[in-house]
Amino acid sequence: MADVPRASNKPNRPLSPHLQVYQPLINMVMSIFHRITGVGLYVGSLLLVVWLVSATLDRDLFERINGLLGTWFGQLVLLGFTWAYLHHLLGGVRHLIWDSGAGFDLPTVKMLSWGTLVLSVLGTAGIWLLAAYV
Amino acid sequence: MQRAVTPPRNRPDRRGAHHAWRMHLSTWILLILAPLGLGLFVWLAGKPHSVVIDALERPYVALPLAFILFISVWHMALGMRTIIEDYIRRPATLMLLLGLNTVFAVAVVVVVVWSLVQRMLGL
Repeated sequence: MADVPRASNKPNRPLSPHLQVYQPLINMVMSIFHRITGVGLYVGSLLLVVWLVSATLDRDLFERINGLLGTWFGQLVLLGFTWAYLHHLLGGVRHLIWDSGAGFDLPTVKMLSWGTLVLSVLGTAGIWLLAAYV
Repeated sequence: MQRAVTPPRNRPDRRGAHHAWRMHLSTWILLILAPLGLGLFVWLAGKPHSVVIDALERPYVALPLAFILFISVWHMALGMRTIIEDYIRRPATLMLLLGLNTVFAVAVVVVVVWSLVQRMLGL
């Protein structure tokens, strides 16, 4: 087993992952985004619940919440919610493809990961343009 | 029978495969139904109370919406369970957070379904 390289033979190698030279991979970044958007949607679902329940309970309360959602901050949160929703949905499709055993060669992994990011941004823009002008 | 592999310390149960199947099922259901739910919210967002409540009181809106929200919360609780199990190592904290996760999920479903049903039935 003398030809098996060991870490101790190369004492000058930087530790991995070495943060100054480490290049983040798109599939890793999308995996992290998937988890972050998942948590965001978990918390953000409370927004939809408050909006929905207030509509069924009290008109004034509903109009006040509606007004809050109409402010620039409220719109920003809803924009973020839309993107997180689409990103997590597309990430879910990616995971279903991978769970079926397909798409594990590197070009496909890269394509699926970039596709998640690009389609989620385009989809968010599409939904908001549709909501604004239709 | 002797078990060959002892469960990891941070996994209180041995139901990983069951979890994966439930995640798959909820993902497939949401893949089909969740765009409908999002579409409804986008359509109703910013609309006055009368329009919103008129839509929510219809059984063919309220019942599918309640179902979509139920599956969503189920999916959310399953996902949050994985996150908690990934990051929390102390058994007591783990059990506490998993419990809170379940309580949150049940509370959201109960409140949403109750509010939709009481309106639909005109209680």
